[in-house]
Amino acid sequence: MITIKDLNVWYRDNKILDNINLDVPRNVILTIMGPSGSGKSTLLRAINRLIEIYPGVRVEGEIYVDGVNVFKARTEDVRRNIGMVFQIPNPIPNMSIFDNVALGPKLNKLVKSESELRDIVKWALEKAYLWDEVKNRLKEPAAKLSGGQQQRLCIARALAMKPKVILMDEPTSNLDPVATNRIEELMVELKKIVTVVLVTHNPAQAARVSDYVAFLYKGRLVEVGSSSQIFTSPKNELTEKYITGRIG
Amino acid sequence: MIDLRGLKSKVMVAAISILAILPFIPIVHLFFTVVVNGIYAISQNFPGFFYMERSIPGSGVIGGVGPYIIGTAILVSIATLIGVPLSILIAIYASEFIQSRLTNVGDVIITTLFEFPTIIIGLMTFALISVLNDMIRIYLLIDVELPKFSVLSGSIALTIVMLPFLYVQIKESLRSIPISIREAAYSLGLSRIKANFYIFLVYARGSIVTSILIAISKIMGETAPLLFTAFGSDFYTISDPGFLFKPIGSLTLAIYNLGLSPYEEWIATAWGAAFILLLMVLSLYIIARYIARGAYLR
Repeated sequence: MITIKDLNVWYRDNKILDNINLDVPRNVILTIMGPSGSGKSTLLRAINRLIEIYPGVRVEGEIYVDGVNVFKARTEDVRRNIGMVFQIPNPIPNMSIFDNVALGPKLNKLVKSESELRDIVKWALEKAYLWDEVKNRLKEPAAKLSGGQQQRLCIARALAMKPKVILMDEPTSNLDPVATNRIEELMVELKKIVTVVLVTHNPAQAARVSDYVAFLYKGRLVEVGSSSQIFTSPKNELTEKYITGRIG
Repeated sequence: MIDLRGLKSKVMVAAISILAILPFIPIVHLFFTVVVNGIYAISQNFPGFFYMERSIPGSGVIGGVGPYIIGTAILVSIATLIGVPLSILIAIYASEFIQSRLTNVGDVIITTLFEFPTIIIGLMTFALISVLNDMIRIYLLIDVELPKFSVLSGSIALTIVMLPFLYVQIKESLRSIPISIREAAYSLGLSRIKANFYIFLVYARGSIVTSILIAISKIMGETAPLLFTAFGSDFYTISDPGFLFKPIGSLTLAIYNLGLSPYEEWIATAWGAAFILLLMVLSLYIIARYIARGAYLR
């Protein structure tokens, strides 16, 4: 589904990612974990080329999503097929709940009629476990929702584009345990329809939700493996130190 | 024992209080003079004051400011219709291409224009139209004369007064949009143009609407740029189909011209005009403040 080949990323003169090679199968949750500053978010943003909105970034290598080299395709098309959820819930606060979810399909002209748009918004909100809480207040501004609801709204916004991949950049780091729990359940549910690439600095979360785990340390991919293998018998000493809390 | 320290403190507090109140005296005085004289003038001819033309001097009758209100409304509307879209477009460019040379040069030019005395902007517009006329005559060989004193030239002058203020305000609103919102927009696969028009402008709409209202109230009170352009007229001109190419009056020009006249009736009319203008500008300002408060609360 996603293949990363010899990926190198520089920010000005600093090398952020050093020769990353990674394969992600279809309909799984792959977690990229690692301490702060290890390049997790950069790797995630390279996949949908969001990294390019930052001046001073240089990327080398190849990333294939569904067989398409993202660096050869149009940025708009790449990002349309890859949804993204961020660390801080970022709905457009003064836009209504409905409009926030409708943004993607509407502005990218993915729908032909108003009723089709309403169906997609409902479907996305249902998939994000938010429909029952907001179905009577779709016209209210998104800022009125709680933090956890806002994050699920962002997941719905990403889903409404019917992407093949969803990238999640520490989606629960600003949420309380209850909201975190709901998002984690949601992720497991979501892998039925999309491939999820999750970034976290929390090994426990990685263990709870992921099928595959990649451990990133100082810009290098230290170890990749199935979740059970990484957490029971890590091959690399650094990985072991990290999951036992001795580094990071 | 005399409490010297306590006394010193009291004297200082009293002095500071007086100094703090002092600047309010002229403002309050000005405000009340305008209100009292204005309401008196309007009450002499109510409600005719709002739609009649000025009276004949020496008649002892106070006329009205109808043509001036219409003139201000037309001049400000056209200037807003040109100025707002233009400054939004320039501000979007400047916020998107922060490092481009065009942004740097344009930014210096526009912010310098901000500091320009407005009478010079009026003169500039006057000169611009003269130059345009020469160019049309010389290069296009058409004997057409663009009117120097007209609604259009007045509106252009007001647009130039409005543009730098709006540009700076909107550019700042756009540049202060958090990176998380930018990432949200671009992660949906939106182009720069769509992201700006459908997301960033919506996100910043509270502060942008506030700046637009303040800009409108600013140009509403301008006199100097109109002296060489709109020129002034004391009669209804809008029934004339070509009125856009003819001089027009405004409340500010009326205050200037009638207020300096030797006739009591006209001076009273000027007070009334001042009061109406003050009311219009103040209400716009209050609406702007109200929206701004809502924008920060969102």
